[in-house]
Amino acid sequence: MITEELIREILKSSGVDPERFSLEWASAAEAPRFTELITTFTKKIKEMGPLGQAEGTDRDELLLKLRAASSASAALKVKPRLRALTKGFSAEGDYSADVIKQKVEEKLAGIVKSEVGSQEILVRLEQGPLSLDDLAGKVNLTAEEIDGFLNKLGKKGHVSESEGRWTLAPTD
Amino acid sequence: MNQDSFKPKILGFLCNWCCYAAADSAGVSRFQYPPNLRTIRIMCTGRIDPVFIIEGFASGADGIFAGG
Repeated sequence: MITEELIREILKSSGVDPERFSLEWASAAEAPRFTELITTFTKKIKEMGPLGQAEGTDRDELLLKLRAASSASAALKVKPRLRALTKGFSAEGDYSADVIKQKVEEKLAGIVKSEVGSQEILVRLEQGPLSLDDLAGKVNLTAEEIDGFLNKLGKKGHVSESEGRWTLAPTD
Repeated sequence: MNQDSFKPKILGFLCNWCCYAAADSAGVSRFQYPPNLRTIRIMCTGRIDPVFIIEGFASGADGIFAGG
C-alpha cells in the first residue's frame, strides 16, 4: 500500500489521473468479488475515456511525461526509501490508509516531483535546444528549480548554454 | 471518440495465489466479466515496482488494475 501511494504520487506528477490505477484484493475463492471488481473498474475507465481525455491533456504530451517518469522511478532508488519509511511505521504501529497516504506525501512527494521534473527537462532537451522560459512553461517546476538543475548539469558537462538556450551535450 | 465504441485497454497485474486463481475460477464457474482485461501473472503483488505501472501506461494502457 505504500508502493500504491508512491505510484499515485508518480502518476500525479506526470499528469496522469491517479484514479486510473487501482489496487484491490480478492482471494482465490472469491471469483464473484473478482468479477465485480473488474466490472466496476472497467466501467470507471470507460467513463474516463482514453488516456489523456479525463486529464484534458494531449496524449503525446502525456506519453513524453510518462517516459520521464519511467526513468525517474528507476533513478529514485525506491526500495531503500521505502525501507526507511516502513521503519517509521513499525515504530508507531499505525498502518491505516490515511496515515500511509499522509506519510508518503510528506516524505516522498517532493522528491518524486523534482525527480520527474528533472527527467522531463532531459527528455525535452533531447528534442532540441530550449530556453529557460520554454522549459518553465511546460515542466511542472519553478523557474528557479529548473535553473538550479540545469546549472548543476552544466557543471558536469551534460548540458551547455549559449544565447539563453540550453543544449544537451552529445553522448558518445 | 464515441463513448460506446471506446474499448479501454486495461492491464491487470494479478497475484498467482489470489486474484489470478480467482480469475481462473471465475472462468470455470462461467461468471461474466468485461473482456478488456489483459493479464500479467506475477508471483506476489509485492513484486510490483512503480516502473511496471508507468511503463504500462506509456505502452498504451488506459487503466491498470493490481490484484492481490
